[in-house]
Amino acid sequence: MTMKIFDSESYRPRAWVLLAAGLAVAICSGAIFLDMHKPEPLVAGPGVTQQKMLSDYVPELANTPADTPIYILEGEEPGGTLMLIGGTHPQELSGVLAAVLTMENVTPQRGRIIIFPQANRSGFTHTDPLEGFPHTFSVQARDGSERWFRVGMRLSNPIHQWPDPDIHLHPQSGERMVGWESRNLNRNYPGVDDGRYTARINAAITQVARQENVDLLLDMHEAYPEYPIINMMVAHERAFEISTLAMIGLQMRGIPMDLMASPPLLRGLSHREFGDHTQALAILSETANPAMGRFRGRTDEELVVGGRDANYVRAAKLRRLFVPFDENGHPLNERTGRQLATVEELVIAYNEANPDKQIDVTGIPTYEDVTAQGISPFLLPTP
Amino acid sequence: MPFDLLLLYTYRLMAAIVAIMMIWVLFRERDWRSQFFAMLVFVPFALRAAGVK
Repeated sequence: MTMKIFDSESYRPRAWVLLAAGLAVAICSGAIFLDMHKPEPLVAGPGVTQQKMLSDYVPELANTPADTPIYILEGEEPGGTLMLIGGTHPQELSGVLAAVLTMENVTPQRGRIIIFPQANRSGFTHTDPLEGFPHTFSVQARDGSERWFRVGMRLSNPIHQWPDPDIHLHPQSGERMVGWESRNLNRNYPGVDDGRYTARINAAITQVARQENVDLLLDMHEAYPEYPIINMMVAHERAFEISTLAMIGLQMRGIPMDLMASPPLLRGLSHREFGDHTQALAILSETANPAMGRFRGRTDEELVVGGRDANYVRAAKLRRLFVPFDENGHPLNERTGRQLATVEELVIAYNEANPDKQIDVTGIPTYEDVTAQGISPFLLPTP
Repeated sequence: MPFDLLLLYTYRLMAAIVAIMMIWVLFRERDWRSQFFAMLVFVPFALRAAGVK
């Protein structure tokens, strides 16, 4: 029997069997890849007064993968405008969750909040090749039902923008970067209207910030614990005063968050380009996500949500990290709470500096509550 | 059509040609190893030709 299977005379039936096997593998794996394109349900909370799409500002993006939802929360009284950007890098989950919790829980009395929960939607449709990331994770909503979210990748999907150049040139400055940064939303601001896929998203988001006269902008990120810019805000020089006040506020609450000035020559990043090209006070925040680092062990839903990893505990003991890391790790709850506390303190600081154009909001889940109770009590069930 | 989109479609066309060639190899080769390797090459190129991956 064995001889017959491998016998050269039986090559034709063997070809049919192998072709069927190849097609089966292609169809099954193709279905898994296509499943990543299915968007998770996003729920508009009671404070949301308008739901728009990016294509409402730039019609050319309609019916393209670049189009993404925008939630606007407007108070009854006029005031300042805050823009929150989550999902610039989709695997940096605390930014996505902080944007989601804000749009589901916050109600402004004065001023507006404009929220991008998934700034680069293409990045949500794939994960890092060969890194073994889970495609999704689940969290309980406040009624016990399940909410699921995708774990994406920091770059746009190459099926939407290909090929990468050898060297990416930031068009406005001529700064040179590695080629795949052409698919990185946070290296292409302020964007190019008729540029490549990612640069067009950048241009559209910049246009939203200009058109809506955004006063304060926070782009929420995460980085691996061995990265020096962690648990930190990076602020444009015009935003340094309120960022300093916010940092003091955070530290007085026992939430260590450092502050760094946006380097003038580091181009294409949100904290630099929104500050230079719009009236917004632009800030970027970073929390520590062990699921993104090179020391991590098995990369599964437990690591993504729980944020605990024995390798990182060891690395911390060897002083290889830029954040404390013990057996409790850095759970998604704590990281999301830190982002929300940063939003809260930045709004307080902004209001102190701008008494005539305040942003008054209620309902931001506090760091203390989110850390103690988790994000579940603040997640609305899907309708 | 933007130039990079033209390149992308050209790439998909080339991936389709490779996938079809692998089917041709499957039915032409008599050695099971060549056939097996053709099947292994077929899978990713079929996915790339379909624009899924």
